[in-house]
Amino acid sequence: MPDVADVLVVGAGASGSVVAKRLAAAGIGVVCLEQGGWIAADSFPGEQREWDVLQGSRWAMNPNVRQMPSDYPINTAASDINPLMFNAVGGGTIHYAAAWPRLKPSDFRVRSLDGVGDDWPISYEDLAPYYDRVDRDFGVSGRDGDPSFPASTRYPLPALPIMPLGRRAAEGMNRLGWHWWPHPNAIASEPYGRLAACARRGVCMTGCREGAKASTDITHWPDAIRDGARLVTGARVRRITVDARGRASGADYVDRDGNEHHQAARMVVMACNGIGTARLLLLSEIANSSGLVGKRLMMHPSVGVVGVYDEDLEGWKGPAGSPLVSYAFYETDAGRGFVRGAKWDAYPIAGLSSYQTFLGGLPLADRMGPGLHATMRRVFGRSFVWTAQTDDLPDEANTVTIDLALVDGDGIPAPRVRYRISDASHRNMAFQVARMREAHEASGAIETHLWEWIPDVGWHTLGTARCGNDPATSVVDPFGRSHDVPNLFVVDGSVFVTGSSMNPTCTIAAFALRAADHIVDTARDRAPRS
Amino acid sequence: MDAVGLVEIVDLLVPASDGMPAASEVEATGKWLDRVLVADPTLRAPIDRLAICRTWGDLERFEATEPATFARATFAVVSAYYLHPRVRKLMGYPGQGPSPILAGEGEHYLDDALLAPVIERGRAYVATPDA
Repeated sequence: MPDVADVLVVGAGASGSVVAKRLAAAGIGVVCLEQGGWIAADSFPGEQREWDVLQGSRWAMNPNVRQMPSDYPINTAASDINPLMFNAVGGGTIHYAAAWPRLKPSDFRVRSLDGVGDDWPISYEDLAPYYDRVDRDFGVSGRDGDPSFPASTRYPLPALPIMPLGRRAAEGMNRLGWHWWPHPNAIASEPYGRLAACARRGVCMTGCREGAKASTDITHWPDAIRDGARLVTGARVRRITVDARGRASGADYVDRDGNEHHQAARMVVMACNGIGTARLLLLSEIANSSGLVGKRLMMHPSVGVVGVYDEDLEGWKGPAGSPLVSYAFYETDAGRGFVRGAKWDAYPIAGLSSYQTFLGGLPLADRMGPGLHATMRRVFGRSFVWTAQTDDLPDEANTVTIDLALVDGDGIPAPRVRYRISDASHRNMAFQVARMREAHEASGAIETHLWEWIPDVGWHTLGTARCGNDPATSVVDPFGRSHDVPNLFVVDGSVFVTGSSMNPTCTIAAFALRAADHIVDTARDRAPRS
Repeated sequence: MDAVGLVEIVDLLVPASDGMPAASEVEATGKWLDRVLVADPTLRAPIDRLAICRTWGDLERFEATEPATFARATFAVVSAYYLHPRVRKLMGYPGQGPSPILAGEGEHYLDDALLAPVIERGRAYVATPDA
């Protein structure tokens, strides 16, 4: 390993992988520190009979439940939503659904259009070329021509089948005149590069045994390592170090045996998600002249409505991954009593015991005991869920701070999350629930059930080191470079100015690739190596 | 844990009816529950709490007073029950196994006519105001 890395990347998840691959391909010396390890595909639990149980225990998305050695605890006592993440090579892409929507043009101009939040310092048009590139790098399966977006998208793979449930959902949406489209997913519908074709196990969110889902341990790291990047696993960063001039000089980290190390670097790139990056910047006491590090946390409050139908929809079968998306209620309509809106997805419901989680509205005797079997015969395989993921606008009172008592397994102070769902978000969710019931009814559902996922919906941790042009009101510039520390970049979801309602990985990857291009393009302008 | 009591109360939760066996007929409180508890040891405490129930009324009171614990206990019971191969067969559930995409399957579910109304409505986004 080099004594001094050209670029030190902290975190080997989606954004860190994109940066490492791009920089290594350009001949830049990359070292990446990742607190987790490689996860072997045959260790994923989808093959096991007790998969339903394992997805809520040692394969849970909530690190406070999962408690793998690579995880750190998070104090969520003051949070309405639990942050979810995975700490490994591939990061959150190991357990994400791989739903791959872009942000819409309006998402970058919320202040201009709706008078709330802030505008991004970049536009959809700035990011569009990078969206195109990450679509190819991640092997996205989609159908071109969605009128909900500017007409530039050309997906590299055909869309995944929408399945019987998607057809049923689409028929209802057509009856109502509401938008829908086959959802783009970073799941290969055909063999593509190192990705296998999807086998539709429906267990995408506990890892893909087929290697069909684009997790960056498959799609990016083999290329990055081939091109010279050094990936150090089991390396938990304690702090980013700075030199006498206030420039980042590397990172102190702890290995799995408890040994302390320092990796020196000429540049540091933070890629630890909206919780981890804020935690490390606060612990390092850097890059925070704006006072905004750790503030404006957004996590997309989400809710679902299950529809039960009178036919077998193979509702347990994947991909999951989202077969169908709707943006019918995405853009602002002032008459609704809130601004912005929600993204809808139609999802299958895998497993048998998971049905218990949304039948709670039935009397006990209808969901257990004398009514159990009749109810399960009626709902199992004959149901799917419409979900609404809402746009929670930034609020400086929603924060990541450093806990004064809780520490991780290496004694490093843990993050404390304070997050309250706003009244507007509650109104937004109530509106979406009513519309989702209507959608199911238009599709012919014989009954509907509210599926209240909160608090375990914090898949998307955004906004805690926002980008912007003004150092007084943002942490990093439009390329992710710290206003305060010129050789420090942030490239994960922390940079989001507003949250949109979208699954963010596509945009995180596009922003990271744009940042990496900028680092490559400006390399010649930087001081020569010592 | 009172094993006999647990079998009896679990059979109240999962009785034989509608062509399905009772929990005790498929070892749902035996080896299958053991597998569930290995997969998630934190479910043991809710099961222990469940085991002190004797009647349906006890179950209703358990849910009313400790809804989260009750939900986890019933989740464990149902999970164990649905692990049994006979139960899965009766439910028509093969498990989350592979189901490769067949040639033409995409078009089978999604034809142009289904999408036509969406396309005919035209552009459905707000453009960048300063673009």
